[in-house]
Amino acid sequence: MVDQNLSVPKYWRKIPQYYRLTAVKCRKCGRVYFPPRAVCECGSREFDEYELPRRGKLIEYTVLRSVTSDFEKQRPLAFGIADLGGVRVFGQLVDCPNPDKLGEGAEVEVVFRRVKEDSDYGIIYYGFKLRPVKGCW
Amino acid sequence: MAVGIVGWGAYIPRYRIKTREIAEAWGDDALRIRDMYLVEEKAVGYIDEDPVTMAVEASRDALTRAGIAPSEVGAVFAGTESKPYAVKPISSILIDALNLKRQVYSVDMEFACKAGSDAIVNLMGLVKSGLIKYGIAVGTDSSQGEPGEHLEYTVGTGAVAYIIGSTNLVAEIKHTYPFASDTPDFWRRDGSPYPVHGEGFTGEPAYFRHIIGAAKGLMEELGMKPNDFDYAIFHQPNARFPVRVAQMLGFPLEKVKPGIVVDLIGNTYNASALLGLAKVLEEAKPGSRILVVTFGSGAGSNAFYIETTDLLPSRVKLARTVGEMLEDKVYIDYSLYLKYRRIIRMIHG
Ligand SMILES: [Zn+2]
Repeated sequence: MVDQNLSVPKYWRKIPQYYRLTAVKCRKCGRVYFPPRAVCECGSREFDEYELPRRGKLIEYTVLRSVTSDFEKQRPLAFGIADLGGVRVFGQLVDCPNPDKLGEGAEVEVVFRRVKEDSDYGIIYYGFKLRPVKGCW
Repeated sequence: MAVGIVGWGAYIPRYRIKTREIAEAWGDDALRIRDMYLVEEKAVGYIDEDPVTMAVEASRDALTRAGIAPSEVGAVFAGTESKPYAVKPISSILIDALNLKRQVYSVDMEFACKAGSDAIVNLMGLVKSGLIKYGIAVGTDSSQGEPGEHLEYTVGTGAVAYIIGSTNLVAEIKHTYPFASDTPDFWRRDGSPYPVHGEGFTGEPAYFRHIIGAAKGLMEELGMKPNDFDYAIFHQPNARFPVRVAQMLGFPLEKVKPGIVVDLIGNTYNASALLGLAKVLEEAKPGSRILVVTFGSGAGSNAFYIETTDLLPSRVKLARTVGEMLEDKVYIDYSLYLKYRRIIRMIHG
């Protein structure tokens, strides 16, 4: 999920996470962190970059009708937590007009979408979202 | 050196609107409109989809099918006529979204609906010269059709990507032939929200003259005839034009039909004929001979002679197919269409 109050430099620094779900994998114990961390639970500070798989299962979701003004025109917004290769990732659910029709553990794929934009003249922020593979209507 | 297609990927949004639904909103006779264009419905990107997002989706599947590492890609060219930024490239966003290396030739190309095919031709040259190992050519569009005007019935949304290289080919591109001239058939002025047609210029002097010029030129140089091809794929602004140009060139309907997608998703501009090719690659047997002719207003065509290899069938199922995406759809009404396509002007948001 792209943070809602974002400056252009902050967005730019997080492009690997927003675009490709770039996580980190501990060299010592193999734990994977998304978003990345500086120190592993095992105490190690040595990580390798690791791209999360782009298919996984939906663990839970919620539908919001009350959202901040940037997202008002997209209501209702659905958000979900997906298990992507053992890592839990929070993101917006798209192409899913009726999330209630999603079964438990529905298969989701990671897609690349517009997240928000700074008016008609500013930058467009892109990032990942979650999309049910089979649909939900 | 043989050059050609190593992998391909397509993307069609999930939402659709029926021609009938649009006709009812504007008081048109739906049957007459359907008869004019033979378009049943068209694909509509959601509010958060644009030519950038679709290019990423198609390119990711193309890399998956090619089975190559992103670091092996030496160039990425995006053909589009509906860039979300007037100045700021799609191709550089692709570099980071696909995790390509920094040493990549990258540029966006524009020639109405033809640029995606020019991306392919240019990458063929870079591969042949040894400057790059693989390149990504993208055709992606989410173009504009003024509400209440006829263009609105056919303007669709979609993207397609091809990995061009010289090893592990699923299809060899054996020959190309261009045909272009200054023809004022269709344009959109800078800053204008919708394009306009040049009166009387859209059919014969533009689409038919350029496609026939490129197709005939290619066949003459190769000494081939329509009989020598298993499939013929043409740019598809509607479903009537490709069928008619096939008849004029002497191709039977059964060789044209497999490559027609416009009837179900609309005209996807830079993806149009190349999406038809993606669909044909999903069903073609090894050794199939394919003619592809693209067209862009302004105007020009590129003709390609493509022959599939033994490697093709095993790559089809490695990613989402056009066939699957044509079936995977949710219908929306005209009001949601206006919202999703951001046609309603808003002060807030
Ligand atoms: Zn650790």
